[in-house]
Amino acid sequence: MEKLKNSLSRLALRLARPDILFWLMPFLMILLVVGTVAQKEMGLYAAHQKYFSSFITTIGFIPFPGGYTLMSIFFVNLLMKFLIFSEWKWQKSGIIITHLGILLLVVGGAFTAVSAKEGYLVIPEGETKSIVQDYHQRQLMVLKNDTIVFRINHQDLKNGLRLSDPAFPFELEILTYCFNCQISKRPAEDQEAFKGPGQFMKLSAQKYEKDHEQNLTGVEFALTGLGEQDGHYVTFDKFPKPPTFQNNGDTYTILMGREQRPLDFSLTLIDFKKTDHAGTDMAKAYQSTLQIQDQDQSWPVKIEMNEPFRYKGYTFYQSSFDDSGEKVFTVLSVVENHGRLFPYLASLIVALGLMLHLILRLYPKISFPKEIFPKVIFKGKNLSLLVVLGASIFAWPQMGKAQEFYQSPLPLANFQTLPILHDGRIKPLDSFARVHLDRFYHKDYLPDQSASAWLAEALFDPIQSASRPVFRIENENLRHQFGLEERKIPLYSFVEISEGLSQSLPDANQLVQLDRDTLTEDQKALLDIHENGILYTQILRSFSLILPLNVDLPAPWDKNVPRSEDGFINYLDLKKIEQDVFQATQKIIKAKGENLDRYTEQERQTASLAFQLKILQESASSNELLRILPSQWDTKPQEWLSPWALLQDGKGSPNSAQLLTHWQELARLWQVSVNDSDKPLNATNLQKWNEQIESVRSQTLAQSVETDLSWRLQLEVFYNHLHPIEISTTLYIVAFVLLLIGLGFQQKKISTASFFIFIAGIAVHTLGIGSRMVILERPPVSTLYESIIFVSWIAGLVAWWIENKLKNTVGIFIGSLTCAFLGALSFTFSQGEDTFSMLSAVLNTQFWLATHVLTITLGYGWCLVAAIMAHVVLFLVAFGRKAEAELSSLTEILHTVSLIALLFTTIGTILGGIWADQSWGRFWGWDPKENGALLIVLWLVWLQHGKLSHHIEGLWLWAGYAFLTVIVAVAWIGVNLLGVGLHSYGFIEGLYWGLAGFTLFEILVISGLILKAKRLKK
Amino acid sequence: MIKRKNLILMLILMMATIGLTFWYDFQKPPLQPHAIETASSQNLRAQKPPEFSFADYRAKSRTDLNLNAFKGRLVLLHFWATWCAPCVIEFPKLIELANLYPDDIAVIAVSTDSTTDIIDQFLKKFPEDIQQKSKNANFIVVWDKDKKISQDLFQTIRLPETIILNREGFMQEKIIGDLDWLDADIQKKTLGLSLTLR
Repeated sequence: MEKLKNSLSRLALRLARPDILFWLMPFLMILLVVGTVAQKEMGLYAAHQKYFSSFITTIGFIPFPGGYTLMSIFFVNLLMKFLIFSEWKWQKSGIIITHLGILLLVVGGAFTAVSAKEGYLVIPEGETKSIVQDYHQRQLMVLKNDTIVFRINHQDLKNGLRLSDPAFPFELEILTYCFNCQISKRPAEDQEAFKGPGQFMKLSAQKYEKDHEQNLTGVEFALTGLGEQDGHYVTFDKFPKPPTFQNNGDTYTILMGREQRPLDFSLTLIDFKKTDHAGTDMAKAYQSTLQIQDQDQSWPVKIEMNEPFRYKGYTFYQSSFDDSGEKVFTVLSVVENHGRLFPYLASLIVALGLMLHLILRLYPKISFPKEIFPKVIFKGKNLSLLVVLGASIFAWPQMGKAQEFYQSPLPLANFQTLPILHDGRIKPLDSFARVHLDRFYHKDYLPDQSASAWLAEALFDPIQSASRPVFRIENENLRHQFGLEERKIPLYSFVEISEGLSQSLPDANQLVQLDRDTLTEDQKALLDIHENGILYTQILRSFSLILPLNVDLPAPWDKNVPRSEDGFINYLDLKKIEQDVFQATQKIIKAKGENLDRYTEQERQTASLAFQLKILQESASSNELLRILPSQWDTKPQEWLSPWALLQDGKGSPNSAQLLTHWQELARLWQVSVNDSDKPLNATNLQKWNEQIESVRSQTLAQSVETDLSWRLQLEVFYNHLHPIEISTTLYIVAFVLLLIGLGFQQKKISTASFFIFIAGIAVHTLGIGSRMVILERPPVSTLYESIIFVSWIAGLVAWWIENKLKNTVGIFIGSLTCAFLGALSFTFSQGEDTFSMLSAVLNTQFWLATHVLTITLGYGWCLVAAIMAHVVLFLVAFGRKAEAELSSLTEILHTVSLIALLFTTIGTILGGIWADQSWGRFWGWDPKENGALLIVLWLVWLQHGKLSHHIEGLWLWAGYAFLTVIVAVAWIGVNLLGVGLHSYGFIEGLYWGLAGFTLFEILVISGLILKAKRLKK
Repeated sequence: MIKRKNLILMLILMMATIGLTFWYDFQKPPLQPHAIETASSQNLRAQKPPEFSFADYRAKSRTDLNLNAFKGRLVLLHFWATWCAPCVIEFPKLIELANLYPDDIAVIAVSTDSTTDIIDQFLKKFPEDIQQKSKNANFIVVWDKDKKISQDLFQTIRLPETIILNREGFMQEKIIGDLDWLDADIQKKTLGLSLTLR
């Protein structure tokens, strides 16, 4: 007995060894990466089953421990460590609490893996349901009078299997089973044996679909024991006419379908509501209102994205909907998971533990080195240099603004802040103009015109605008196809390309039917120019109903049409006589046919007028781009309409009538100013122009249901003109270059200036992020672009903190380099796009954006600073600037930074899990984005534990931290490239080679520095 | 060797979590359910229409009218024309509606036809009783000669269109297209319960 006890003790001690964790981590990380990448090819479910829900798997042909095995080892190792070696001491309490939390997390995960059941409920509006269907598990079922009396899982089905049971009076023999069946026409010679639809439908196995739910599971079977009804039949998943048989007054149905689990209460769909971002098809929110009935109690509940309903161990989530048919259906995910509170409690404990550990580490204080770089800095401040540099950089974006006034016939400072609804949000005309000009010209300003001036001209003077070179055509073949002359800058006007557009229209119509990925570059260019041509036409025709028309009115009509003081008439004026003109034309045609030669001059003019009116109307149909008129009639949500859409949809109102009158006056004033451009600006006209703009603004805002719009619009225009992200990036680059010069030439003043420029960069960056928050009324990170500029900002602040601690320019170096790189990267995601984009329904939650998203991006920021810091350490060692021992203080702070990075990424990842639990019904689903975040955590944990157990030290430890750049890039951006999983709102394309190049570059740099350092050591 | 404190702590936490889950899951349904909230937004429809005067072109006694004269009733400001097929179908139903609720409803039918003769001819085609009902005091036929009311003031282009003004004279809703005004459900939905409650 004693012997056994000793053996067990020895075993327990061995199982508690930290080496196990250290060697386990790489296996876990490899499995994580392989399992994540495999999801793209295999599909999510199959990859989960193969890699994460298995004990043994294979990578290629090499056997590899599966997720269950690795997690079991991890759990046992941590449990033994906790139970045997975790002595409660104040200094170690943080780490012990963290371990306890992780143990609970794993226990909860195991509990969930064993017991949780996922399914869905489809409820049509007005109907009641109480049976949940499984997503994946198929079953062959025998129903007696609509009640299931027998079922067998699809995994147990095979050809030749015979099924009999006292519950049914016949025998079934499976002839063909296929998990994913292909249905084809049954050959004539086989038809005799089959009955029902099976006579004509043959099932045969085919390759599994990536999306597990898309597999069509079915069987061909032989039925015996029912006399004349004996024969061969087919049945498959969602088959509308499954075979049914009669026996002694009972009806038996053979059904293939998803496993059904009855609830002991029912749900009735009262109402389903989908709310879109105004003016778009993009869903802002989904909401199901249901009535729950449990025995004699009944009560209403509301289920929304991120707001599930929990009852009796089930959680119901808004998953999908179908409103394409006559009846609206809501689709609810249903999860039964009694282990779901584990992650919540565990997360709390882990977060507390990590924070305590960090606090205990930071106090007592770390001593910081004062001089690692040469003594060059902070002995004087050359503020004049800073002022000159700063002023010149700030002046840069303002130059274009000054030019704008000069080029525009009327001042546009107020015009550009007028509101418009575009891409789901109300923005200033300036932003609208920039987005479109960027599409046509690839820049948000023209050489001689600002975006707002270009828009004003396009709206108020379309003839002039059509002749202005705006379309940048880079594709040489397209230029040749359109017969365009070669120019130094390939810029062409709408008039110049219009012939090419009309000739190539049949080709474009064909191309638009095809998948864009399959098109050649020339074809894409052709399609793009057509799309841009349509957009431009829409802009040019936006006001064609209120602009003066060049028409000759026949005498009898002329006197009936009211004219403006300038003597012009517009479409709206003609609209008053339109019906009479049409009726008169019909009479003429009835009397004289369609031959114009038989018409009198007056008749010809009448027919011509009718034709022109028809053309005007038709050319404006579906012109919905310029949504400047808030509807008085649709306010939940409020529609904003273009002038043409307003008329065509019958949404006109006294308010819209007044507003259009003001716009008409603006157009008139613009044209007067253009025509009198050689004369000095008329003060009366200028005053009228400003008054009309003010009237448009005040009336539009008064009709908008959104509040505080006015100053948000002005702030956005200020943001557009300032270009804060571009300026701050420029400042970071300048700071970095100056720092290098200062260090290279040992010039203190230049290095000092670089510090202040870096701080100026952070200030402008802060202004930019703050403005965005105010404009969008949401936390700073919601899109990939925003995450990049936020991570950059965080990295800048962390670097500033380091600089304050070290005062040796390391902080400036790290900050300016990281921020400059990220700033440049952000441009990739902002070119040609409105960076103020709307969010999909799942992201429409202030709480989770402010918690999970901010925490995880804070983690990215700290990780990147740690990584760049590690690069600096490696560089200093490799080039013999300092010996390893002397760098201990620097590496000490690096370790602290990495610990903070671990804190934020861990808490962020856990918060992400909780959000996923709230929205999708599961804490962890091995989704690529989740795996990416976990990869960072595992990498940091591996390095921390490697350091503690002395497995990773010195150069290798720094190299590990340096490699965090790649780990973060993969987790942050790389997983979005896979295009699979539930984080579909973040999917991107086209950065594969950039990411691969960056990874290769980092591998070369880091290994080069290690080799250099090793050689130096020798 | 094993630290009992740690073991006990872990077990307590696990039991507590499981216990909490079951306690939460098997709570009774709320006895007083939360009211389902509905988003409210500024009611932009409920604005006063612009001031304008009009006349029933058929009766000299009904000239220089304005909307204030109908305060206390629901006003259907109806835009129509004789050449518009849905208007032709809808028109007699509006006459009947006005006739059914003489104290609650007033219909101001603004015609955009080019002459009054056309309107006269149109009205004469109706049976005698309808023609009589169309002369009720709460059914006004306005000829909008230059479309100053329909187009310049109310920007109604597609016919028929009907703006409903509540009893206080505020614009409540706009109906685009024709309606069967004699249908009880439509009356309830568009004109509100107030009609039947009185």
